[in-house]
Amino acid sequence: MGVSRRRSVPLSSDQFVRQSPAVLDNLFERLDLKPRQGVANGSRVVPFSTVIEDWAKERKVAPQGVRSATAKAERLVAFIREHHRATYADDMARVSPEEVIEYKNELLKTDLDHDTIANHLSALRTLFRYAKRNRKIPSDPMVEVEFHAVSDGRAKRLPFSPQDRERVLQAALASDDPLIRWTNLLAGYQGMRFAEILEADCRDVEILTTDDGPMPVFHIKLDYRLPGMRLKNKTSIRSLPIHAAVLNAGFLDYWKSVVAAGGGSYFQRWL
Amino acid sequence: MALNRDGRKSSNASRVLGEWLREVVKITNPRYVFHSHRHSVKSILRNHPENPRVDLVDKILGHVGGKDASGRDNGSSNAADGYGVFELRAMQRVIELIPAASLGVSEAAQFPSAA
Repeated sequence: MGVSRRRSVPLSSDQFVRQSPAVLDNLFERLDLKPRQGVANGSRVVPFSTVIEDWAKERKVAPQGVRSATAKAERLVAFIREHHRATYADDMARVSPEEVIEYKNELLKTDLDHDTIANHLSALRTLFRYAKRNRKIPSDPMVEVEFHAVSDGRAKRLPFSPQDRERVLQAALASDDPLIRWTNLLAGYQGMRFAEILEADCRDVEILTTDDGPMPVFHIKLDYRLPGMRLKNKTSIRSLPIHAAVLNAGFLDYWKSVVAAGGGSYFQRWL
Repeated sequence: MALNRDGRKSSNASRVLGEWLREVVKITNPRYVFHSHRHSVKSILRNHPENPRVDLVDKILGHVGGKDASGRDNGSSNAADGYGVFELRAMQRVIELIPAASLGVSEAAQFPSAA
């Protein structure tokens, strides 16, 4: 009954291609239609790798982000290959909501913490949404897949206690290793992020002339950083007056020595 | 020196700092890491009795500041090179609220009240 009813609706095979693969295989069989040329089993194979590539290009995702997305996709693919289908496991168009839910439940059985599972699922969600919105896959299997991470507060990084902070800064001051000394002092007195310090160029430091006298400033900006270096986000771009304790520890002398040695990065050997 | 997967060495620098914290400073609790400095700075400023302006604290840390009605960053903390000297002086006053390490170094004498 259902079949004959559908038969009466004029549909082109193009429209069928937008259905999910399993439904399509059935329909093609029942309606005795030939799949469109160049379309294997009623649906194009859409490998994760090509979607990741397109997505990374459009969103300017850093290599690290691409690697992370790839690793997460590979984990899902391995699961599907083991539990659902040996071939086309890598085909995003074939992934069903049920498979994603089973995968989520599988992750929950591991000792991964909730935040990690949430990261995995959100990376996959990004890829499926991107693929769907760019008409690469007929439907997004993750639309209704929910996961609410219950964060384990114990895993969080904490501020140092005042006593520990004192010990760390004293030890940094006592160190003659520029990496240890200056990264700790700049982070400890200015709150700068690790990469903001490590990847800085000596041209990022400037002594401004003001009515109240000179003011040494650390500009956190991309202008002089090496290609591929990034700042966390737009608001990371900022200028910081340098704390007196950092100046008293001789930061400007170190800066001048880097400039005198030809300029460039403060921590050349670590970049 | 081995390169990391991006062809850079920064992860080695990160490791060196981590090992230094554990082995030299003897801070072994895994919840304390290099990034704890940043948490400390935020915590010190947030709880400081002088109540530094929140927008300046955000600006110092490079945290997203003002939001418009739709929750988007309105760019109010994204001035960078456009900072006026007045604003930089204001930020400097906030930065100087962060206490200097006090023991056995010259700045202890110069900034006794800060510690």
